[in-house]
Amino acid sequence: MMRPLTPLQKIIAYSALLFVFFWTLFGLFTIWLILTEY
Amino acid sequence: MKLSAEARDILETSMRIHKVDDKQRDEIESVVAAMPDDRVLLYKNVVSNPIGDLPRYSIHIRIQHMLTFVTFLTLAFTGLPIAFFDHFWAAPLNAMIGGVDVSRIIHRTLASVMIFSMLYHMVTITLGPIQQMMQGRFELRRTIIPTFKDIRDFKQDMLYFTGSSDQRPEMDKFMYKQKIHYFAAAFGNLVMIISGSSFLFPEFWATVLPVSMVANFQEMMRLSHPHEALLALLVIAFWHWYNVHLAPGRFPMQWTFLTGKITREHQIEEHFLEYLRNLVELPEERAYLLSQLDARGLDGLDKDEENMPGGSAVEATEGSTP
Repeated sequence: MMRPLTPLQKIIAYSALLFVFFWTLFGLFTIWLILTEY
Repeated sequence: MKLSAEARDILETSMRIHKVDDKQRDEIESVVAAMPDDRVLLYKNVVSNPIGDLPRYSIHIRIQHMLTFVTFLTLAFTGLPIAFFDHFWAAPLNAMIGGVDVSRIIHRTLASVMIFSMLYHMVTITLGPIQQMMQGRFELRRTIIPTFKDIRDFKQDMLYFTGSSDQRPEMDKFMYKQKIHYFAAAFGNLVMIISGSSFLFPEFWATVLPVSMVANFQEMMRLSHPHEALLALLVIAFWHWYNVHLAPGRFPMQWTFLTGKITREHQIEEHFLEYLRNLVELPEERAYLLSQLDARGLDGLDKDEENMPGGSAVEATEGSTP
């Protein structure tokens, strides 16, 4: 079992997750770009 | 636990490499004997620090990952408005950076950093094994080089995921999935470097390639640069980030890229053979595991005695968590 994250660790981990989420949206945007190019 | 022939071989090799004495050998054997056969029961009953317990990546690999991570994202961000410069949305993005000429400079500078990171990595993966060979502790199966075992592991893992097997395979330091990902990234890097350099130095490529190929080569590179970038974006966003952020046991983030350490739970679940080496190399891990098995009444547990799902033992011994 995993020990719980400290508040600072939570801030780092969830910020990274949020960043990844927005970057995934950017990835989807890129797919749309490429698909609409042809 | 009764070790498989493969696991026994790993353990014996590791003990030979580290020249363990009889006392240490007895200690290692007693820890192994005390482990339950069911590895699910084992990894569900150890306590893990989310930021990592056991060594996995050196500082060099972490720096290289960080360089690749930063350059990859910024290259994608600056490259896209360059590739689509005539689109309505690209103009404001380019303007935000300082115009398409500035975007190009940033893009090329970051590309140089990415190439440096790749060269740095090649030096690391060359000198590291040479040093290990000189010290007599090099093991091919502990590296990222694919072996036939990976095909067997893949098959066994698929059986596990479809419910046809109750155990995941005993995998080494790098599992089949990581090897595919690593070589895909290496191939992608190479494609991006060659195609990118063909835009910057067309004369160079015209001199080294046969005349009949030059025009086609440039056209092929012009197509492959943005498409390989898109493929890489997809792999990173939907595969890599799933594995290191969203997968059960990793959420919200796997810390290995920062701390260089892997959690005990993860090591036992996906890299059991490496965990056996950890037991040889780290006396404190042996002591921890033995005390944990003892405290939870799992030492010497065999299949007949278990007869209960991994979760039951966890719940039954929750209070004894240190």
